[in-house]
Amino acid sequence: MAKTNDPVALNDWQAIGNLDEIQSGKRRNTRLLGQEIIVEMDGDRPHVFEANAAGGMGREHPAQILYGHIWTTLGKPEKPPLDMPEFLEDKRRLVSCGAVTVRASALRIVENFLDMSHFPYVHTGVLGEEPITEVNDYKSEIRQPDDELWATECSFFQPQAAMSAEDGQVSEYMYRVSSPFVTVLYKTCPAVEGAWDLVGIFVQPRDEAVCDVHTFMLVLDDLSTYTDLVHFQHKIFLQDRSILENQLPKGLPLSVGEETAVKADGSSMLYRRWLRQKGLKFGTWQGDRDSQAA
Amino acid sequence: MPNQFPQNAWYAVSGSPLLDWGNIMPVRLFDTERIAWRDGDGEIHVWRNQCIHRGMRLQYGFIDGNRLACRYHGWRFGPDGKCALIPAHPDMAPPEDFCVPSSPSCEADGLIWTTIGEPAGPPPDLSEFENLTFCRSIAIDTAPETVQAAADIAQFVPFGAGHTDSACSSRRAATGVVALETSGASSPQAVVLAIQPVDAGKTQLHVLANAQIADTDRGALRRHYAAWARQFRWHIENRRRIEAVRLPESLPAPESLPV
Repeated sequence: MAKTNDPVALNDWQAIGNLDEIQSGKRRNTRLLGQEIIVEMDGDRPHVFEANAAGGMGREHPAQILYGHIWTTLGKPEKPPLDMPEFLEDKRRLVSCGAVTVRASALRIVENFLDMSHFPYVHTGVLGEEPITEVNDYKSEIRQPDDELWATECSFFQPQAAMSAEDGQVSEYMYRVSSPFVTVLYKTCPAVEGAWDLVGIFVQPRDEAVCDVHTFMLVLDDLSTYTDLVHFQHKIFLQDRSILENQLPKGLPLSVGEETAVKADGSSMLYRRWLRQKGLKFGTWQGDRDSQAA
Repeated sequence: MPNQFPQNAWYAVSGSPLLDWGNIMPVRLFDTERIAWRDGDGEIHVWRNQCIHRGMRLQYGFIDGNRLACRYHGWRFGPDGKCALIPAHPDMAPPEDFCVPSSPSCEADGLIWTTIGEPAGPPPDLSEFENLTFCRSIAIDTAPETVQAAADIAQFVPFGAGHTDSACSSRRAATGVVALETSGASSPQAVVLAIQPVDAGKTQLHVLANAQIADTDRGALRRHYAAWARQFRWHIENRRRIEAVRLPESLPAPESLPV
């Protein structure tokens, strides 16, 4: 697949690696939106080039470091990446979990991140468990002028909500989608009452059905080791990957009625409508229902 | 695929003993994905391998009593394909049209049959074979037409002592079904081969033996024809011209045969 020509996907910032992985003076090859790219650190300044046919450095694209990751754009974004002021707070620990490759559309990955109904079935005993499966009403909206999707007043009973949680608790959540491939959740912090922990994914679409998912956590937990936090997050994410790689069709159907939805899917329905309004094509299903899995 | 395997015919997709309650079997027919499962009453159902909610492959679900549950959100579907429970809204009766698409299916002669089109008639009638034993299913990495052409000229040595000299003939017993029969022996045997077109280049072959034998010999009968099936597959996958398939004069002892 060659570089996409979808302007909605191109005119946006995407993360393509974390700082731990790319050392100064070394080159790293990766792929974004169908385009082979080369990433290089010059001291603490990142450079991103398209790889030309011979594998050498072609056209350069803007790059920046944000939230422990290298971000780039292959187009002309109209807005910067999301603003997370929590990153400036002293007591928080940034845990970069590295990249996990998933053979699925970025849009399926983001939609799974927003979903709570799967907690008892995919993350059994940790984020949910039968018989407490009901998803309570919550709110979904698109906030302007930032053009971000927010789901708020979400809650779910969880046997082990986080690495440091000792008992089950009702976790409260907020979900935020700042652009088609970037989403963060805010959840009740077990360590500090009234505060939120952040967990987010910066999805790097390599192709329409292959992504590298860069996961981060910004937590107030000062008891668990870095390794334990990463393992916890990996366990959760690998459970999701087993699902994501088995959803058909690969592309996300955007039209109403192509898949069946219920009230608990409010944020996913709004996400699909938001993507439809943007005119996004990359990572979407372009066929009709009957030809999906035949 | 040409006329030998019309899409609206019935095809065997499993031996009955291979699908017990609790198992969700993925099935591929004409490069489409299906699942087969058995409900609490033992009835077979063949559905599209895709949940109506978020497209999760139903083969990774689990059986909950008389219902099939999707692995993703735990939606429960009854034997009629209709959604019976949505765990995110446990007190809500799911709408009537929340239903997984299903295919016609039946179980007969030791096999599970389905079709992906609108069937033109009933499933093949194999009642002429009165003593069928399902022996094994085997995957063959070749087009179904090639498997059928090989079956048309295949030979076999029947199970049991004193059968080494039987001649053998083959005929098409039904669409996709080839029967190899001994002739002239005092207790005739047949090998019934039900061909499942998986896709243009892959076939699943379901092998049954028709033989009047004591129950205590049934295990040995299965092993005999399972070994024949492996030889048959080897010949097809490793020969550029299809030649007659014969068993060697003496078989190795059953315990040393690879699975």
